[in-house]
Amino acid sequence: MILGLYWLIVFLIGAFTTFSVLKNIKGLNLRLLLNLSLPVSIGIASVMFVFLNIIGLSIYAILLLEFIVLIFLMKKQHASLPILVQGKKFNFQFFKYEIIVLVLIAFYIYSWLMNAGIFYFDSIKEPHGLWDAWSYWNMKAKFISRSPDSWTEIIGQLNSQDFHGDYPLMQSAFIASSWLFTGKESVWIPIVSSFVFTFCTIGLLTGAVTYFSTLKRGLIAGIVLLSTPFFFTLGDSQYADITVGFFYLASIVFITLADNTGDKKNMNVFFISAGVMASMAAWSKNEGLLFICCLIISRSVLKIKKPVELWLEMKWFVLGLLPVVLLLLYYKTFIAAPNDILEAQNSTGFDKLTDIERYKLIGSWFIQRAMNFGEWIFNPVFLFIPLVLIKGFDNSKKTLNGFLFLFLMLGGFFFSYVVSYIELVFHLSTSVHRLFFQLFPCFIFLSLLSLKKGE
Amino acid sequence: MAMDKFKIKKICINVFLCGFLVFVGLQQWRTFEKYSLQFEAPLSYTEQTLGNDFITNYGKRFTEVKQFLNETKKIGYYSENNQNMPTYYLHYVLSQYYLAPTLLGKNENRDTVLYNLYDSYRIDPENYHLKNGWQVIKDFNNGFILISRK
Repeated sequence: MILGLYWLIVFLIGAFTTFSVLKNIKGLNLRLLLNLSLPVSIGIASVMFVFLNIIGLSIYAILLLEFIVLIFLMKKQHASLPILVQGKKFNFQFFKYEIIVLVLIAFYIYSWLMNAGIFYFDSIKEPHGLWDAWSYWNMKAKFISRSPDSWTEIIGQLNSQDFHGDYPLMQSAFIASSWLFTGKESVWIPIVSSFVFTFCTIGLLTGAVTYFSTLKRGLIAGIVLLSTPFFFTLGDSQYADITVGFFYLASIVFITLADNTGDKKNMNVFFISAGVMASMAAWSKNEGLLFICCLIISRSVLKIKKPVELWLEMKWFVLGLLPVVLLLLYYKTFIAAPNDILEAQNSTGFDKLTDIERYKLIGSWFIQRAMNFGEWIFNPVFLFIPLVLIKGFDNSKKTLNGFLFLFLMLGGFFFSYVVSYIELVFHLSTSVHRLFFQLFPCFIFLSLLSLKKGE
Repeated sequence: MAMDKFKIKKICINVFLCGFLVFVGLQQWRTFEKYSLQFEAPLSYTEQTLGNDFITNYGKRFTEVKQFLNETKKIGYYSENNQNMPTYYLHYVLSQYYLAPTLLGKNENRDTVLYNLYDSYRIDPENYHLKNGWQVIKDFNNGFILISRK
């Protein structure tokens, strides 16, 4: 009962926050709003819980405070709510669409339902998730929920190399707060949380591509992700790669919104939102920090000849980043155990950097994993080649910049393997494919937007 | 002329979309086949599977130990002799997962030490700790033995 109330409050906070950002865009669709709201709710709940818990509030005081925040948001936004239904009657005109679009819609719904079923079957088979889920994320949730008053003193004592004591708390804190409200450690809470991130990534991708181009392209984007078996394996394993991938995509979507809006006030709000989403990525996994750096570098390259514009957008972007990044820095400095990769760096670090064999090995793994991507019968990346041939590639600066960002991320991942202290083949075999999956939704989004406009 | 170009493009797109649907359809079919048994009888699959996984079953051993340790902050952790590294690591991480917030110090001689003897169930009388003045506080008869300094 109390969990239901907590989740309702948290969801409404997320929904009103997202609505307050998106309300001014033309043609706002409910799909985009819902698929952003749910994960954002989890993100806000996680951040609020950790912050308020650190300053010493009890779980019920946190709930009360969240309720007050909700009332404030509702009071502020209720006047704008009619926008959602204005001129939007549910009149699905069957004959308005081409047959091929109807087939795509039917296929999308079928795939969604089938994958939801698979998610359920895998989840009851492994309800604690796979290794990383229970040994890092859910274990930290247990530390927090079993000692809500003293976890900050204990968690830093976890051995970094065994438990990655410095990993951020997005999933763990949300799960722990939900467990505290139920009074028992139900395995269904992490399952539901992973379900939200997995399926909202698909929804956000479909909604965003539809918004910026056409329904047909949006459906293609969604179906590619829905047809990728390993995407769901990662999702129902409760790994955080899907979570961090969602926030990468959300941040890129907000930046695209900012680039496409003519209104200066809206643009600033979108850059703030992109910053918030990027900081949520950093709150999900350490790779989120790399994401922030790569995004800033790629935007700086894009606006290299327009320093004033760059300064203005970075100002708002960093403003959005700050609250969560400050909390993350506090957590990493005063609470968490040191980062295992940084801690293990010693005099051999330079030797690794100059070891050509390491570069060759990492390169060959990257190529091999890219070729066998996602357990498809055929590499899905090649699906985009005929589309590019037919539609043509929009080689504008903005499009190329999106790909520069992806390239920088891959470069960052590559470098992290070069300096890794873990046995290299083991490290590569257990993580390269997951890192690629963090970027996959962004890749689909940027690829479909890079096609020339027009049906 | 322009119209023809437009038409050709449209035909190409529709051909692509048909190919795309066939291709993703095959992919989805392959995925579905892997789970066909579960889809045929979802309820009986749920009944048979839920709660029967290794991690949940492993956790059933901890009920008593957890109650016994209660608020203990840190204890030492030892395992079977000559256990290979991946097995040792699996048992260690699982024990930490279930015994949180008590911290388990890997091979550390704290005042209290937990032995996780998953295979043998019995502590070797020639055990280093027992031979050096430690005593068994409680044998839980499920492979867990708590010892402490005398």
